[in-house]
Amino acid sequence: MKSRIIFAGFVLGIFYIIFVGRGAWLQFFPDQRLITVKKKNFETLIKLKPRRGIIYDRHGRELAITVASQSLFADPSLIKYPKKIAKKLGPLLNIPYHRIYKKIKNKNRRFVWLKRHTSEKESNLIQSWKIRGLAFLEEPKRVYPNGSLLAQTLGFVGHEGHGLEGLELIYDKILSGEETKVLVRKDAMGRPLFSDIDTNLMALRANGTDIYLTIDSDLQFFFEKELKKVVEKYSARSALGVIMAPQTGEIMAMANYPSFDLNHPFHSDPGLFRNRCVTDAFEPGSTLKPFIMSAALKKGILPSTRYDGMKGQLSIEGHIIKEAESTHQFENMTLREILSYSSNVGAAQVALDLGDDFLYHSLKDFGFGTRLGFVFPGESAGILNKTPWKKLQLATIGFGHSISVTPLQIVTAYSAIANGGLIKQPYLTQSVFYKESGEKKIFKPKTLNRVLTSEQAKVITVMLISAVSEGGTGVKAQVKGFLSAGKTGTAQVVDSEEGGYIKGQYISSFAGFIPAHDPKFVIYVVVQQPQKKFYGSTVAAPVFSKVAEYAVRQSGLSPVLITEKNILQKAKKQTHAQNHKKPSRDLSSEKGKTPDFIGLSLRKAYQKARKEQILLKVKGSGQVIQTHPPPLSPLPTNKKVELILSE
Amino acid sequence: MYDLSQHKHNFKPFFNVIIVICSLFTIVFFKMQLRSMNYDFLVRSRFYGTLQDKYYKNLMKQAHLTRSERLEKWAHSRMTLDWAKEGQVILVIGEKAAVPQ
Repeated sequence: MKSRIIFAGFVLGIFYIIFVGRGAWLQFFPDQRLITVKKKNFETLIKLKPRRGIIYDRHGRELAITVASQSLFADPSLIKYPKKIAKKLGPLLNIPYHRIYKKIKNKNRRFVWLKRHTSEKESNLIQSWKIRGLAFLEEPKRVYPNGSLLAQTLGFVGHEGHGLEGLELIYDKILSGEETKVLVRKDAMGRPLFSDIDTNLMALRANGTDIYLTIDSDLQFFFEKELKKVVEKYSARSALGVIMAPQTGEIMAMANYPSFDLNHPFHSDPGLFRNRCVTDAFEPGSTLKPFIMSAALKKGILPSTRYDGMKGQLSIEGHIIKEAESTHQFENMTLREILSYSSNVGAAQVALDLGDDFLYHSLKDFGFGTRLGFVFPGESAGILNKTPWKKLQLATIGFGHSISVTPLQIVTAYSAIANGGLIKQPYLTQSVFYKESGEKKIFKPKTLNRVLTSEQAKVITVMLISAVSEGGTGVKAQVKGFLSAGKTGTAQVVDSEEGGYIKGQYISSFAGFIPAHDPKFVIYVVVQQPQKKFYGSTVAAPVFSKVAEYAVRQSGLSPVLITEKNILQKAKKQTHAQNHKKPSRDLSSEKGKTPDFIGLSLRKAYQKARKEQILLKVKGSGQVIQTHPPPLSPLPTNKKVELILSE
Repeated sequence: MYDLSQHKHNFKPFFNVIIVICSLFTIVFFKMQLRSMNYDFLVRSRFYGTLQDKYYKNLMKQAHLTRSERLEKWAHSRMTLDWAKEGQVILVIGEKAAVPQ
């Protein structure tokens, strides 16, 4: 008996050792298969999809926003009466009965979408029916509250929530944010147990980044409305336009008409998706003339230099260049008159005088024939052929033919004139706001280069003012109470299939800025293929006038009484200020003498005064143009200096 | 009379068992409490998500209501306001209405 007990104990002991040994083995040398099984049974991977960031305009008004929506799906294998259900769902979802029936009749399928992004009313009603085999999945839905506003610029997202066009595409990664994956233990019901996570789960949910644009949605709306009106009035094919702030390069409006509803992009013609202000290049016509005149000034041709009108006809290499109207026969025109009357013959002669190389480089400086680095898909560089040019080509470029430019390039180049010769890079994104960190990245204006001196820019401005004054071609672009400057353009439409131009088809345009003495808005309007009338002066200039008027009034600018004299005086003051900027830094350190504040902004003047412990008395606003006592004269004992500012 | 002080050594094992059991119950209680708090947290985070959804929906509704097109229609239809037309006189009072430069 005893030996049996010992034997049984021995056998049990062996089994015990085997079990304990196996347990220890698994503990110290884990089996991958068992780990997988354990994970499957006790752990769950939670994917926290971030909410796509909001796109705001410059005033913080929502242009694109993501909300949660319910998408209806069916499990056909669970549906008992597919015909009955299809009949019930059809009218509610506004989908034909046969399409729903076709989807749910196949019992072998386990998942079919019936409708993505149902309305609240639809989802509530269907849920109340409690039909077996029908269920909802929550999905993010991108909503564009303004419908078609800024459609081509904003772009849109696909069903899966990824950007497909425009800014939605460019900033897709930033807007989407990153999906957070968290591995947590789960209970028997499959619910996650959050104790495993050190940090708050909600904090892990990375929201997409918000983007603030430079666009003014009110201005954009007004601009689009005016473009629509002009297209309807002249039965034009399309219209587009850009508004830019010349001092910064901010794009304030970028309009294309016809447009499409961003909430239902797939119901529209894909041809409308393109932002033609950036992607399309065409011959600018006379709107290019200011840059020919700029090149002339740069080459040292005086504004008073006279060119023969050639009785309205100039013969080059067997071709005859004519004025827009046969009745236009000008004589001995100055550069200003060439621009004011929009003389093709005069502009062609100026171009011939400049020579191809000089004109090529001058136009290139203004940004023609190059991409401006504008953050947008499909930016076109336009066409500016390399030199040498034939004489005829050189002459025709003089009045904006044989060259293709984008509206963005034109508006940027006009901004350079409006901004005293400094060309700014155009940009659409004001700032990016990272919600998680609270960090805000602000995009700063970037100067590309100086294309004109301040005085040259003002001379061109005066020429452009005269083009809008009585007797000029752009008289319909005038805005009451404000001085505007600009140039009309009428170009023939290039026949891309057979070459040459399409007979009777034109592109009417107007480019200009307002107020001319201190430009705040550069506006470019293009109307493509208007049918009833076609001159830029008749078709596009009035649109400029209306939009410019709205822009200045909306921004609260006061109407001004101003003459051309003021423009030139201001240019002189600015040049004076520029000339005094550098030495002023050196002189400031001289003790007992009045520092040179001339040319400084008020803020900088205060900073300088604080350093030197000087008390300031300020008159006006803007830049310092005069000081009492004058710079370098002995500083008064009370250390008080009076500053007179430019405005 | 049974003298407890004399026989307290007899109760020591009993107290030990009681302490062990109580400790175990305490641990279980705390674990259950933790689990319960986890569920509470789960419910609250779901509620937070719902609130966030509501917030964004309201934001969207507000954006719908205040869009330029709708405001213009409102101004025309409900408030008899219209864009200024040429020839309409607008009186601007003050010295700086028109500023000679």
